[in-house]
Amino acid sequence: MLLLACLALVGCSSDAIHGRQAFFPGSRLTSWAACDKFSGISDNIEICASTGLLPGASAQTYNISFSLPNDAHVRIAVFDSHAALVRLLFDDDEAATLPGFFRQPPIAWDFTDANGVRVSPGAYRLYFKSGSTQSTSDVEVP
Amino acid sequence: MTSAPLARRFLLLLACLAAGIVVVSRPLEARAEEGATGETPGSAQPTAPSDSAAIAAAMAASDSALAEARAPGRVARANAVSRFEFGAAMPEGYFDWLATAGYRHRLLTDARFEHWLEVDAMYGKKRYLSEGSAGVAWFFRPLALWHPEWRFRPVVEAGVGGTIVVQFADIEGFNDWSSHARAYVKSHAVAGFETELTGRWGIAVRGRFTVPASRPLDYAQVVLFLR
Repeated sequence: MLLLACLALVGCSSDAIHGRQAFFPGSRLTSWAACDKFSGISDNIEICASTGLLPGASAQTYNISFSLPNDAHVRIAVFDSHAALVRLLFDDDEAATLPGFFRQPPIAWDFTDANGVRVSPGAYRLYFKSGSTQSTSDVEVP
Repeated sequence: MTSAPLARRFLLLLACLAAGIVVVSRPLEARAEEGATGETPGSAQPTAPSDSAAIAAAMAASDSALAEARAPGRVARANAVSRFEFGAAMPEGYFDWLATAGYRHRLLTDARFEHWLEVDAMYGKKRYLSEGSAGVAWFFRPLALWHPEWRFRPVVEAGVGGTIVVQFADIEGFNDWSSHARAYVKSHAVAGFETELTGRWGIAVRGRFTVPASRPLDYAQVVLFLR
């Protein structure tokens, strides 16, 4: 008991108990693979993404694309490490893609929040949802 | 971390341990227990109390009657061994409020302190985030600062406790949620007031400080307690 009290006084009280905890990255760290032009031939939804410079862009973005076998509603959003919604990137009905092709242009996240302010460096998680398909990808913003 | 802060922390730990050992090892003053009979095993014949014992007993009865007349039952209720607490707290941190429930039990009383065990649970929700916590703490209440005969009694305590906090995040707009748990060991200082509302119910207002966290104020709390 005495040792516990002393430890509590000396070193185990570094942060607030009721503050927000870090959820991401969690134990199930995921990442969408880079897009391959000929990999979208499937009856399932396929998602791919990579960080890069889109044509005409002046800064790098995280570019998300997907193949849809059928017309469907698609929702893509970014969450911070505390699991708070940072920005809703896409929330609309989307037409089916041609077999073997991904959506063009990709949905680009320019590392800004809903107010257009660049987010602080760190871990973020993107969520993709369409029908019963849901997938995540963890991104480290530099 | 450099070696200087480590050495300072180690020295602080040693000093804390040494001070604690000195405090714990000091002999406690004998305290008379209410209801003690003074009988010794094998004494077949009851003995009449001496004059001094009779006078002391009469004085104690007089004091007790006087205290009861001033504040009927208050002292006895204030010195109850255990109680339940239900309330709300405004914590330091992300959450605006927490619902709280707790149980406190007086473990022992020595020459200088009352020792209380506290078990508590809290729940809070704000936007996408929910939090539940459970904790156990050992508090020391200095007798010099405890006045059970007062209508508004100041409460000053210090202690150490462990808390497990679990947070649940609703991933807004998606069929998913995430959870995370952390355990803490913290030292606390508590200051506030309490008063009786009825014979069994009372109300307490207090603040709990965490020492020496970077964000030290844990919460301000108001509770209804039930004996």
